[in-house]
Amino acid sequence: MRVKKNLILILVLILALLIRIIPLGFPVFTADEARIAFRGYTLSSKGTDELGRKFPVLFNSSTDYQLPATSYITALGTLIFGKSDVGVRIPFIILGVLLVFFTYKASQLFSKNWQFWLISGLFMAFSPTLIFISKVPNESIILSLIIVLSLLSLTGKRQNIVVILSLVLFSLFVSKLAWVIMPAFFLTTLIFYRKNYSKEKKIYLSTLILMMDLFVIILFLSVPQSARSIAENNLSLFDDIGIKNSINELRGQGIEGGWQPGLEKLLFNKSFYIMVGIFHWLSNLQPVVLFAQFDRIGEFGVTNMGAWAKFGILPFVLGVFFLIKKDASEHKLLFTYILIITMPILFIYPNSGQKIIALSLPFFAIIMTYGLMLLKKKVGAIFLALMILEVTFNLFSTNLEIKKTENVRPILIQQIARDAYMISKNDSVGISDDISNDSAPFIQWYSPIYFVESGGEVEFPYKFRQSKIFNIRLVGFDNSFDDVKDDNIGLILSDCKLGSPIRLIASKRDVVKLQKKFGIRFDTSTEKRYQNSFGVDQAYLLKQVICME
Amino acid sequence: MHGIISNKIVILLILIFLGGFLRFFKLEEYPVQLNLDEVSQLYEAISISQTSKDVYGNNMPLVFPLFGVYAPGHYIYLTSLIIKVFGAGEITIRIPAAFFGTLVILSVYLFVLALFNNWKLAILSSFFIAISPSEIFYSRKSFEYINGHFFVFLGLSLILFYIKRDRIWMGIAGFISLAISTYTYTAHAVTVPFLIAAYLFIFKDKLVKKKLYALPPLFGVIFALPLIYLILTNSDLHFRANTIFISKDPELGTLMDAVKSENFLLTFLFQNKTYFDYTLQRYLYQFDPSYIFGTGLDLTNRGYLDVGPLYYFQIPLFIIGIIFLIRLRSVSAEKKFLLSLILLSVIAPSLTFESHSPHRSVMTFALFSVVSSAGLYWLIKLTKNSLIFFGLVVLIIFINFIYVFFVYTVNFPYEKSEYLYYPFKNVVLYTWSQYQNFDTIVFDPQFGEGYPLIGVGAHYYIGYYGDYPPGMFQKEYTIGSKPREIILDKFSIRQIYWPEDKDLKNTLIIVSPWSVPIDQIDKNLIIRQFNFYNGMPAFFAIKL
Repeated sequence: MRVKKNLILILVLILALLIRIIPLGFPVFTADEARIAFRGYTLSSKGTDELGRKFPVLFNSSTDYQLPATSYITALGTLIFGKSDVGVRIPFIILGVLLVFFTYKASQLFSKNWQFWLISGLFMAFSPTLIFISKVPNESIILSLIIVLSLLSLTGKRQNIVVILSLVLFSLFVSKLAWVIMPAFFLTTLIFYRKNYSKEKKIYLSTLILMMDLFVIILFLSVPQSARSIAENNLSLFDDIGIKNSINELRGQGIEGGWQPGLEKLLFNKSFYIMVGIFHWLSNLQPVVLFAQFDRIGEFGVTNMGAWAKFGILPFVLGVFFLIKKDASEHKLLFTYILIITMPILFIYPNSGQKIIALSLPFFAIIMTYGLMLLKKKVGAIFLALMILEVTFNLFSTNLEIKKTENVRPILIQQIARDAYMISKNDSVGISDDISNDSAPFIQWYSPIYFVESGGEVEFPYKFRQSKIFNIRLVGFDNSFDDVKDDNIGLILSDCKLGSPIRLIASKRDVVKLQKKFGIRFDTSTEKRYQNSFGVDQAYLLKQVICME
Repeated sequence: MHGIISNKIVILLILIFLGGFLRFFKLEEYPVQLNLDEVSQLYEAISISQTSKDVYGNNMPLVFPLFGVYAPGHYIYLTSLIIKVFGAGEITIRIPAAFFGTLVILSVYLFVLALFNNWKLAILSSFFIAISPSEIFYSRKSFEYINGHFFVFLGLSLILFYIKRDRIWMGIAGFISLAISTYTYTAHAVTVPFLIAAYLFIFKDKLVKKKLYALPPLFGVIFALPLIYLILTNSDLHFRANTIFISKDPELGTLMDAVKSENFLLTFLFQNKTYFDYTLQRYLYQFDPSYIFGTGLDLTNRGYLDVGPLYYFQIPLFIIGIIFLIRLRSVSAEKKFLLSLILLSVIAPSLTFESHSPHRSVMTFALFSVVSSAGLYWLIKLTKNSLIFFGLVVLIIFINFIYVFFVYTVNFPYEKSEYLYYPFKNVVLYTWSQYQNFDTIVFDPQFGEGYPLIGVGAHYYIGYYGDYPPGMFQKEYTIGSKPREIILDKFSIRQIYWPEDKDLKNTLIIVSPWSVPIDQIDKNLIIRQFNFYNGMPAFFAIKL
């Protein structure tokens, strides 16, 4: 029987692995993921990041600083598999499969039924969100795994303090979110399983965890732009000027209408920040996120599925009903974990909370398992089969998804990057910077170029965007074109004495700009057109050599 | 026993009075102006009461074309009767909804009483309905859904009483009441059959034990037959249903195009799957807590700083109410029925082209209020009727109520006056005051604060505020040859083309900056400016 159970578990893990591997090219990388991919490659091959710094502990992105764990895990992949998407994906696929296995183990805390454990594992294996984030470099899949491992390490028969503290310390270098979530998670678990620990051990562990947390936070705060990074990315609710303006506007309307300013202040005041935060939090936990659309734009999940397949709705509702009805203490723990883990969403308005919700999915899976167990065996099996079918079908028919999400996950830029590289061997190349929202990482990752650019004098540049990669530069809205040379149409307007001649891969914006300036129909004389998945022109490789100031 | 009964009735009457006060207080002033729906229905009601025809000359129509929306006519006919008593003042159009909106307090009381046989819970529920933002908001704007809303809850309570008290007249009256509701608004026509199906399914064991158990539903079907016939045969209703159906959602249209391929079978498969996925997303979006408690009524343009169909304070009560109801023993079928009602009442709003249609979800919000009142009921029980707790609850409710009251009366007109067609009334009154001074009055109803809207149905404002006899309207109303042109008497409602129209003589032109470059016009020609409620310019009167 034991062998049979193990074989079935192995089968589930193999299925989890397969659904994460195939199709290997999906999802297309975002700019940030391409940046981490390239960084992983430079770290593994040269020991520097994309800005040429030797094994740094704090990295740069276009929106925030990045803690090191994700980049170094990516580096492991590129070290073994080289500069390829597969190499980047594989470490995260492995983490995703491990998460399935350890959730299977963690579910043993909630039931003695082997089928219960297996179903928890199946829910994790076939969660569209977890599959998605197992295929791209990101911090959420790492932190999810650490959370589940922490639960196991804290609740095991013999607690290994070194393992526990190592997990805490590692988590603090994965994501800034961990600085809030992990201490709260550990303390809650310690309180809940207080019988497993002596009083001294509890105090000792709690103090050490908090000290380590504080140490990492202080270390981070020594970086010049750290406060800004936290304000803009982790406490953005309080940084949001829109809320302040709205309060003032609504208040002003009342005063204009003849109401007392004091009364207006009583009604419209800073307490609204909390209300906005609460609504943002609740909105991120709404049913559509869990079962129909985890991410509207496709940055953190497929757009036509939630964290779970639609067939998970009934098990989830039944599970919630069951747990509320039973009112056992370990059931309360499940809800408490979800609340603690997702609470930081309250403070990050207007930024999306998907990467935080993902951390709580193992506990949702256990709730759903309770629900599914209430169904008759055959009905439960049908639900599971339909869930697997739905997820598999959606993940094997990704054409629409690629089309829908090409704003954040552009596929076209890969070809442009390769073409730009080929041209750059002989000429300077310009690429309009609105073809994708941040083209530099794509050029670095998808072309054979190896070029690192210094962030300048600043040791930890904040929100640094690269604009020049070797012979390729990004052309912005402000750049102007001085003159044009076109041998084919007999136009030699200048020798480009003031600027530098470049071959331009232009967006519509720059084509229109050139047309207006020189009165030439550039779109009819292009060497190559780049069309998006809907067949709409996105960029043109111009025949003419453009002179750029 | 008598004492207890009369106490219950007194409390209920107080709540109905409170609810009535909140619905009728300054009904003429808030909302600050009759919107297009209200004006068109009012003028149609006048037309019916005077000529038995609508303004387009249709004799006693069942479906009114109005301004292209093809609405069922019960509200217009009802108003035409009220006109005979109260006259055709602006408030008249708002009276039916405010009246039935007040009666909803009673019908929800009966519904909860029938469901849980707990009068305290029923009283708390009716209290929440009495002060509910969504109930008050929609009861004050002549919204025909509200009338059906009353009949739905009345019908549900009667068919629930029928099960428990075994009086067949209750079953018959209940099904008739539900049938009546389907005539009032399309959303009810979609939802009510599902509600009945859930009722028959959940209570089937108890129903089959009754004598003549098929009789009450049969009465419902008989009363609904004319509507069924109308739905099957009336092309106007089909047109109406088509225009608001989810298939008209442009985002869905784009997705459907994107999955097209040369393979017919694959296209069929993927398009249907896309359709299903999208509809389910739309369905689940109706349960967004921020929409339900924070932004759903859309009274401001300030994101989460808005008013939801339910109050902020109902968030914790709602969660506690769910826990209470789940743990409540002995009413298993009733709980299932309540859950079914919530889930089924969301179907109609999810099948429309709008991502959220709160006006089609008022029943869902009322059911959520029932759940949150269960939360309060439980808390009161847990705190053993503590006066401190009671005082705290009253204080929180009062603060939240004052906030909603302020946003509704003060901020809403500032933020959303353009959606109330403000200042169409002032514009039209002015044009009528200038009627004798010009040969022609041209009105281009393109307007807006942030982006241009076309104010369709402007002819209703002209008809109503000009006291224009509907009989004359029916004769004078013609479609002109110019873009968007409607001709009525001296009025030409149409798109202005300034290079041509600037040469017109003895003409009054009403136009917004979206249609004419106002800053390039001789200032002496501009004889009047009309502003939105917030003071931004909306229209200019130009004398040619």
